[in-house]
Amino acid sequence: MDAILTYVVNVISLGGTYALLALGLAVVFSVLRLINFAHGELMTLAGYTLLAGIVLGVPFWAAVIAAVVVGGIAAVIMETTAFRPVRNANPATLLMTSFAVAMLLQVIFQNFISARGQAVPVPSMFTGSIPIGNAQISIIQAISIVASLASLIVLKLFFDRSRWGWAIRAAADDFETVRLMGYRASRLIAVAFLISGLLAGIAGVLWVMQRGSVDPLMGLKPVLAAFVVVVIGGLGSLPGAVIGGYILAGIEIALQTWLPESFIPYRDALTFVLVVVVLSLFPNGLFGKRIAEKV
Amino acid sequence: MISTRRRRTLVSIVGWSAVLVVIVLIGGILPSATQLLVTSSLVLLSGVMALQIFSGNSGILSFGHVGFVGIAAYTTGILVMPTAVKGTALPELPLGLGEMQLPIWQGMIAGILAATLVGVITGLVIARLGDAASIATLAVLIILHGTMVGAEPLTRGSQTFYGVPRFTSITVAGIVAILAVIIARLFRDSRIGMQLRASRDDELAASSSGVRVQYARLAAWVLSSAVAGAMGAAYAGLLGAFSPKDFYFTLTLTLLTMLIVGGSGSVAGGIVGTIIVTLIIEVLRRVGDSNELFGLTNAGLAIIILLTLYFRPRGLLGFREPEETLAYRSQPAISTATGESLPARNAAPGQIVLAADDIMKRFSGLVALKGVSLTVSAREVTGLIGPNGSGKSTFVNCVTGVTKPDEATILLADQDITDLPTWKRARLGLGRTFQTMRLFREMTVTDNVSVACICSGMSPTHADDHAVRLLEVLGVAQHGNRLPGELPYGDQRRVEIARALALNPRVMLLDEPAAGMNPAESRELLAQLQSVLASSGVGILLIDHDVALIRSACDHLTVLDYGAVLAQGEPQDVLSQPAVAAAYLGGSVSDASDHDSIGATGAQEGKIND
Repeated sequence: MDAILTYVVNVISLGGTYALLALGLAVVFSVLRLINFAHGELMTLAGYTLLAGIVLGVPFWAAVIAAVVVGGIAAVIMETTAFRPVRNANPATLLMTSFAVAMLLQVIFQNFISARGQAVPVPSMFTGSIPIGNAQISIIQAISIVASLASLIVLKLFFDRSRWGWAIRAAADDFETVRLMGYRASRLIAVAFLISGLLAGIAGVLWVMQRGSVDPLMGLKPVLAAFVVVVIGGLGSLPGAVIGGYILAGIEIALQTWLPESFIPYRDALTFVLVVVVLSLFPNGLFGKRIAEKV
Repeated sequence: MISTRRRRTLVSIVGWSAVLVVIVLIGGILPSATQLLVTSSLVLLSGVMALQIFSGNSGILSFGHVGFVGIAAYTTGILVMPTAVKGTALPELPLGLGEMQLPIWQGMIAGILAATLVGVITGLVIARLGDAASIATLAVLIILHGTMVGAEPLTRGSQTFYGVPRFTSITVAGIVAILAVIIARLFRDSRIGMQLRASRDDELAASSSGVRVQYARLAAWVLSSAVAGAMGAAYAGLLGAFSPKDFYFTLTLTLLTMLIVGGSGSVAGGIVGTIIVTLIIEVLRRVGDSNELFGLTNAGLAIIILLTLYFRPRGLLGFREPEETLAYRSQPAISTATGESLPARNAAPGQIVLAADDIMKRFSGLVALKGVSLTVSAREVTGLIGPNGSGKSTFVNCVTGVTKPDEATILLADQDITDLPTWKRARLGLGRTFQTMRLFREMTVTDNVSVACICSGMSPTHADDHAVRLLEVLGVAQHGNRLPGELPYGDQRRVEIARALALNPRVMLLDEPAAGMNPAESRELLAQLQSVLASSGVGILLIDHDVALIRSACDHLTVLDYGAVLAQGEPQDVLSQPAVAAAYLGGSVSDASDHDSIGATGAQEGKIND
């Protein structure tokens, strides 16, 4: 029973982070057909901002806000500088561009900050754990669950209630028509990147708080996971990205918890094998739809 | 008599082999440090060729090939490692591998086979995916990397794997590179290579021309995994010691940069890119070493990729081989034989070649087609008209297999094609053109038609001859060596019709073939179609808005409205029915025909005349 409770808590906590990242990727994909490899570096940047805030003695909550905001702004800058020149290119070119941007940012972090990981001193009130029944849930994990769920709810309201939210949801189906409705492409793309960056910022803060450190290559693993999530969920499907996040976390933590010890080194490989199996059954993802081409 | 295509391929293979032999010979007398650089770039070249075979021809970026390189490197490494070294390096080797030591060449072949085996397994999934294929290749990389890290008894996990004899001399590297280049160049113009390139340019048009897209992707993926395996086998003998991180993102970035800088669309681009990027990396490495900068090489590669994608997205050489560019400047040889009739499927005039029965299609609530039936007969033209949204496009999609109808029986000649995929319908003789033109934009006009000839079962050489003949029938053979985008609009339409004819079709669906043509051109096209009809025995389903064209061309006419057949019969009778005039034309027939020539085709005409 406790094992199951712990499992569920772990899945909701990790899945929430994956969902935030995947949603950020999906929002950008909707408007640009870009699968943004450099999304993970936005997380890293948010992580470094959090560290800088703490080192400079800024109150923790202010450092967190700064980190999230920096994630959002950096995403918009990334779009205007790196992706705008290839905006109308094919998806392969877009993907390659973002891959190069990610590699470039990693080298910049390595040279201008440090190649090694930096410890992030999280305030002591966030360490420790809460007992639930006989199981222990760490405070950071609880925060992570609350923060990711809260973000998803806010985002849901944004997509359901606001004009721009509607526009982005519509863009996921048909960007051209949204443009014909009077939305300027540049503005819509900028909003999408802003949201995506803010989400990466939140995910970055949660990730760094759980691990207690930040390093230049930190973004790679979660962004690869998030890639897989958007593909499982169906590229361009926003609800799919969220559900896919929890599914992947479910698979990953199940393997981590119950895999025989001799198979532990293969955990990541096995996770991705399961994903490939899912994809071979659902080539368009669980919630993806093949967009019929007009002839 | 050797065909033009074969001659070009041969020139390319001999030429590049000679260049590489010269590089090996010169490299052989260089000081050892420089020689090592040449050797390693030759090894990398084989990896670039592997990527070119898959990504260059399919347009799907692959991050997974470096995983194949790793699998082959470890396999070869384990098999050729001296047994004495194995005792200390790999004490836990299972299956008696510890006592086994193969000759180098056998170890290399085993490495290639291992990579190919993994290629087959992964390819079965990758080939089925659409947009997500690139991401799935990334998953392949992570799975293979994870396996290398996990399989400690075989690989020493993330620790350094050592003790592999350094057998990759400059000669070995040269041989592997030359073979890789030859394979890549042969593949490009092979039946499957041509089909794959067509699918890269336009997947829907490709499958409608008979291309088995998934099969072509699978074949290319497997072949390229074998070539990547060859790189891996040679890489093992070059490095001697390595670890899983040598087969991860840095190597992926390096190979992709080499491919993209030169131009992924051609073998020559891959070769040129490899040479250029090797030189740049070497310079960066020296600068980085002397300034203690971290990861300068990676940063340099990333910047090179960005600059290439911004300023020359097709790479330095673009999509054409140099020998193809030379051919482009010359006029194609036009065969002197005239008056030859097209090969005809045996269909008597009036025999029904397409029978669509009771097609029903719903889109979540909206009924797009409410049981539409129509037939097309050999040597006759059946017209299909209807206002926008009446279901014409859905009908065409259901007949061609792009959309799955909820209910229907569709017979092509006497064969039930209701459940067949698009490409199979095309090969059975269902040709089509598109409302908005869909030619393979990076392939020559002749190749556009040749692909369809190949799909109908001809050899590539034979296909070229036949393609030229079809282009002659349509009067556009003089453009054979050009790209479709360079042709006037009307001629592009003709190329599309030639491509549909290349399937030796029983039925052709022509979706607004005269759109964008002026009345004189449109009459000329009609005359051409009628001569095609007389000589080939095809039946035509003509979808158009041009009432004058429909009236003069069609033997039968069907009018759709709100997804149902409004009227069916002789064109004169149908067009004079008040219900047709009201629903489709919104007034009298003569008024509407004037209106139509402005409304439906005016926009496109404006584009052409400019």
